[in-house]
Amino acid sequence: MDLAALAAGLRYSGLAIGLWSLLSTLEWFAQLRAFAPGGLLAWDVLALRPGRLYQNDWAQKLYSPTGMIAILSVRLAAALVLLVAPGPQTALLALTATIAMSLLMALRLPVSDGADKMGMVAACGAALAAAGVLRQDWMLGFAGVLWSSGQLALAYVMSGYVKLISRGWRDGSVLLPIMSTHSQGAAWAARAVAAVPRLALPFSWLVIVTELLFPLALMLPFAGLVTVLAFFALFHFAIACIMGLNTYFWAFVATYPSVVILSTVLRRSLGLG
Amino acid sequence: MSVVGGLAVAGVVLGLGRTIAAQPRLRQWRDQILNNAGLFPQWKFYGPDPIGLDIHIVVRDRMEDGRPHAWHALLSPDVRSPWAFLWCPGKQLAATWDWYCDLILGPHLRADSPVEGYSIGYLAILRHCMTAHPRTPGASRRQFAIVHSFGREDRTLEMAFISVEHPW
Repeated sequence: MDLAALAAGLRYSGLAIGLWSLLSTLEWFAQLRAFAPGGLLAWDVLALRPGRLYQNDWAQKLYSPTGMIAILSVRLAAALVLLVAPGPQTALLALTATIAMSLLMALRLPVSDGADKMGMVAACGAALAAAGVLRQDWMLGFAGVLWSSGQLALAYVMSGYVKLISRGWRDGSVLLPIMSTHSQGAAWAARAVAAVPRLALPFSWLVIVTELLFPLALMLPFAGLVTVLAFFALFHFAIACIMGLNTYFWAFVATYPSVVILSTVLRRSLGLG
Repeated sequence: MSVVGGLAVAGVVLGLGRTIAAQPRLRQWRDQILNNAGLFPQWKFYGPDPIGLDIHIVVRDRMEDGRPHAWHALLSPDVRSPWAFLWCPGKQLAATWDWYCDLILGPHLRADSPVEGYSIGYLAILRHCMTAHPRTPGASRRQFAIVHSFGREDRTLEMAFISVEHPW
């Protein structure tokens, strides 16, 4: 495995990170009113959270509505740079800006979704990979690969585990109530689950088992690994269509090049190919 | 192997270990911040027990003569656009509403303790309710309620929480 593979992986990851960040940032721009005084995310109330961090004067200025526009603008510019598939130096700059602005937002917001967390994981991993390519240091780049693919494997395994210990997931009874909500489900999906209730049980177990067994995919030959990753990408796309969680797809797909690189390294070191 | 590369790999391995340790429960606000930031994230997509309900926030004014005004819906789940797989800005705030409501109701549901009256969630929702809906002429107080709805065509409603009345 050489630096060229790292650079190629970085280009694909950068593109997906750019799309995740672009969508997420534009969606926050569409909700800018929430940051204004009296809005749902007004700083005067959120600054009451425990921690000295929130009581600083700089936080007051940075997290004003004007400050939020500045943070989102820098994040938007960095996303656009990533979308034009820049070289490693520019990519590193854009990724650093994405990470810094996402961190500032994470401190500002009371809660973040899984896509933002995975997007941040992918951005940190890609930044390390870009630094590795720039310094011609394979091991530094590999640290980024390990971070992205390790967190992805943890995300799937832990999600599978917490579902496995849930009775509702084991007997498939959680699906219909979720699909029946307006906020998380879809009318056609709820009708489908209600019409064929026997499908809920195997579907639940399909999700649990595939999430739990994801790390084994790292040992598969290239074609098998790509098939597994395509299955998970399809899974995230279906979630985007059914639940409106559109940024998850790009955030998760951004880590897949790292999984391919890690799998190749693992298989070679174990003499499997 | 370079020293920088070796240190980076060691740091990543430690970071992954820290992430595993963070999985069972986020104990402190510091853990919550690290989770939000995606540095040591907690992963549990829709597990173990996803809540199959919609949250509605309604407000009601009390007139100066003591009569209650009608409830007004301040938050109801939107009908999602068919293009939501590409563009879905509403989800960004939906997570915040869920979290605020969980701060109010969560301790009560989990431990059968009294509803948390003045958490950040309560204050944020109250502040929003006081400003986002125009004051009814002649009103002296306002209260809000969290309503849960279950299902679609055969929807059932449940009043989960009613705040005290707050003066203007």
